[in-house]
Amino acid sequence: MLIDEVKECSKCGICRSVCPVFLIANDEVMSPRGRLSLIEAMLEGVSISDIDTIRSCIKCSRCSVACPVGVKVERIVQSSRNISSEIPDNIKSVFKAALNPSEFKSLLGSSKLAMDIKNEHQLFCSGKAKTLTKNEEQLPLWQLPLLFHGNAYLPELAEKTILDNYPEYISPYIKERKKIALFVGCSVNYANTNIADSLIESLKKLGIGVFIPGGQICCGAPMLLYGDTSTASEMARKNISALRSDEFDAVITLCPACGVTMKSEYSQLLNEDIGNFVSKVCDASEFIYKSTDYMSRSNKPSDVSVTYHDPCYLRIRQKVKKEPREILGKSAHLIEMKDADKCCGLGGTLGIFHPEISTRIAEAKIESIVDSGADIVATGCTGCITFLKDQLRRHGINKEVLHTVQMINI
Amino acid sequence: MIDKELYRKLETIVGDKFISDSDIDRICHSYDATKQRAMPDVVIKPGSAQEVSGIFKLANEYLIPVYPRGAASGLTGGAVPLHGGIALDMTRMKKIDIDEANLIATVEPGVIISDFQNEVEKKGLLYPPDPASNKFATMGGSVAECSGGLRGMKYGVTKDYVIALEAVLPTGEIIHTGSKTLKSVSGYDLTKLFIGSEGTLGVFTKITVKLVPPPERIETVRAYFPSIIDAANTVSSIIAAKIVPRTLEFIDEECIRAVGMYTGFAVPEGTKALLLIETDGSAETAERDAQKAIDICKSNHAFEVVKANSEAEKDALWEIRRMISPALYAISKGKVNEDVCVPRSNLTRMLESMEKIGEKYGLKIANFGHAGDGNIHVNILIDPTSKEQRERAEEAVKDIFSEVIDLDGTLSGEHGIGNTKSKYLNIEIGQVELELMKNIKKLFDPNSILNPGKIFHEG
Repeated sequence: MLIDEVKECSKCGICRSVCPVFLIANDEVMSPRGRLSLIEAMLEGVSISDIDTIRSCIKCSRCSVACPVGVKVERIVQSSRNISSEIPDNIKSVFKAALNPSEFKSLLGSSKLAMDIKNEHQLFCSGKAKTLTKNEEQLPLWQLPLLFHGNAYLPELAEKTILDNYPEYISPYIKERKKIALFVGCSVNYANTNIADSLIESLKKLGIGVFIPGGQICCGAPMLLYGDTSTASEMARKNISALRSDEFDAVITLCPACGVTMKSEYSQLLNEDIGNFVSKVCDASEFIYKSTDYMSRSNKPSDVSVTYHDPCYLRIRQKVKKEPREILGKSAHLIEMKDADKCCGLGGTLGIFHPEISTRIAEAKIESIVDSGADIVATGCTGCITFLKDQLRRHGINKEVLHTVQMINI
Repeated sequence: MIDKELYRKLETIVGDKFISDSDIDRICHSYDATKQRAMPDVVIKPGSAQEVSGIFKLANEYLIPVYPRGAASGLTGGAVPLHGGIALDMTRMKKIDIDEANLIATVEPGVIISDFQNEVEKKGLLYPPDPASNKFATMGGSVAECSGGLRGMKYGVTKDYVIALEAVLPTGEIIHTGSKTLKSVSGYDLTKLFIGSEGTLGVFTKITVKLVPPPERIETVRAYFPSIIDAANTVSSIIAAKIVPRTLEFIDEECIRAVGMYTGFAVPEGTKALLLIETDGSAETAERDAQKAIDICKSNHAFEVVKANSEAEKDALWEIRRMISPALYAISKGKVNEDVCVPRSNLTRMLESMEKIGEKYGLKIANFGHAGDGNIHVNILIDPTSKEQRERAEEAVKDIFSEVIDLDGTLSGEHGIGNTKSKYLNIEIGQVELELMKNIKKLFDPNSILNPGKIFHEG
């Protein structure tokens, strides 16, 4: 029972020392202990007027790692979303559309809001940014992972998505040594297509056959954020069957949120044995590091310097720390920034619901990046990339932000 | 719900951003680390002594209780708003001012202890009090509870470092106690009276502490013993040899087993107790004392003594100590934690009695803690959902307390009395002394508006 899990919290307060949101907000209602107490009250029948503070959890799991009792706070927060709020109809309809890629694409491509945001993006680029009106903020697409808070830098929607642009099978330049299924993820598929382009090109050179199974859809993370477990379960089922993990050496993700969702949420969502699917899913950096000969190749690092930012969902939730650093060190001069493992500030929906906290968390990260003196910032998450680009720009800093796989040099 | 007019007046003092009677704020300021819950009517986050003063004046006028809190990480209910009223969250006040010329620092109550320690360290100095909760507990809370921690044996506890306070009395006056000098005997020592008063006499708004230069070297030693008696005798022998380690931690078999199950940590077969010893000072002193301590361990039948040769090895030796708390939770969903303290020469007898009490009530008791100052954390492991076990544990606690008092000890070394131990206070404190304390409370707080229900048992 959820209530039993919640009640295990000993209320010691240790989580106040690690929660990135609490450390900026300095308000118990935005601490893991506070969120659990609110969920506890709700489960006991108290009607809570404002669930915004529970939503301020970025699900990085730092608190769960620190918790002496072993309470899985991010899991409880997630489950609580099912009970804490009715999902607005407009958002529900977007989630439903996301089950069907062509419908979703048309929603993204042609809806008025997407155009508005496109226009705004152009306005921002030309230095005439405007803030969205209250009305616009309530539109459904606002909540999608691609779209961040008013005035923000947004990646441009691609003319052609990855799924449309590539055949289902891409053969390597050399003899095929292994074959993988690529889970593209929304952000890469619709906007940050160059990340997948880089990965595919590198894999071709490394002798890896790349399958981009059709029928794959959104991983379900945004639906889970809203507590829409039924849509998320449907997505899990569709993706598992589309990705046919049995036939491949690995299922590769480019976005740690997709990675976490598939690695640790799917089996719970479906409450059934999903075979070896989970063990096949890995982050692109894990695969390149462990399962290709890239690391043993004798290339000389260039003079370019790069610093690496750890995405919460990769470093803390997937324990991937060494792999991206080793990969970057192979092609450039890697400079470890101070507190590389601290959150960039985006934190999923935190950037949407609490932009002021989000921006303040980012300040320390921007300082670390600048202090590192590196030419390029690399990271492994499209959310972090988008947000870091936005924040660097706001600080007047002109630095390239790339995905780890874009730094691979063969 | 509080009077609307009072709410408006309070709002005028702190501003609408720092007062709330919303359900979420009230729920999140209703508890502390004892898991007790009592809802305040309103949550206020003052930003200055003047604001606290204004709040107290109104609280007296309207006779509404005020419950100050820092991180609410206390273990005896000190911050729980038992009778509702105002939860006074002091965590907005976070200034740190280090005076290197005088080796002192003045901090506001909301500063996190480790944030302060880090700032002090940057200046090449040390603030020695080091409670295990230093990463989240506040300076205000640690002064109110007189926190101790791991370095108590050599460096003392919070009260040995606080030299002056700015405090707001429950009646609203802002007072200054002590002096920024290291010596001062002008009048009664009100500073010491406030330290450990558990938020019942006033609210601190500035805390002045002394700092010391850090030791040049720290040596870390871990020793395994075939019996509790051997470990306890080692502690006595170390003290008798006139060595004052900075840390002398004891861990019993139950804790070792729990950590073993939790982390796979393995100890030599037959290990019944473990000591963690740290010596410090100049490189020469630290090394010499460590060697002496090692010899004493060996002559008291320790069958394995390890000294760390690097920071990483030190960290590894400390791992077991850090893992006790999560490990105990892993083997038992609930624990009743008492932090009794006895004169060090009685440590062996105390640990023997804990074993007997455990047997008598059929309960597992895990002991660990600061053996160097006789302060042992006694953890009765129970299933918190079993009423019968909770009752048995309560009986055991009574036995533990009376045993500790028989051994010239005290109910609480560093956690305070709060409301969880208030009914036992008369086991230790005599009638006359208790009356004196109650009269002091009355003098400071005639309307009993500040943290009512704490220290003194409500009949």
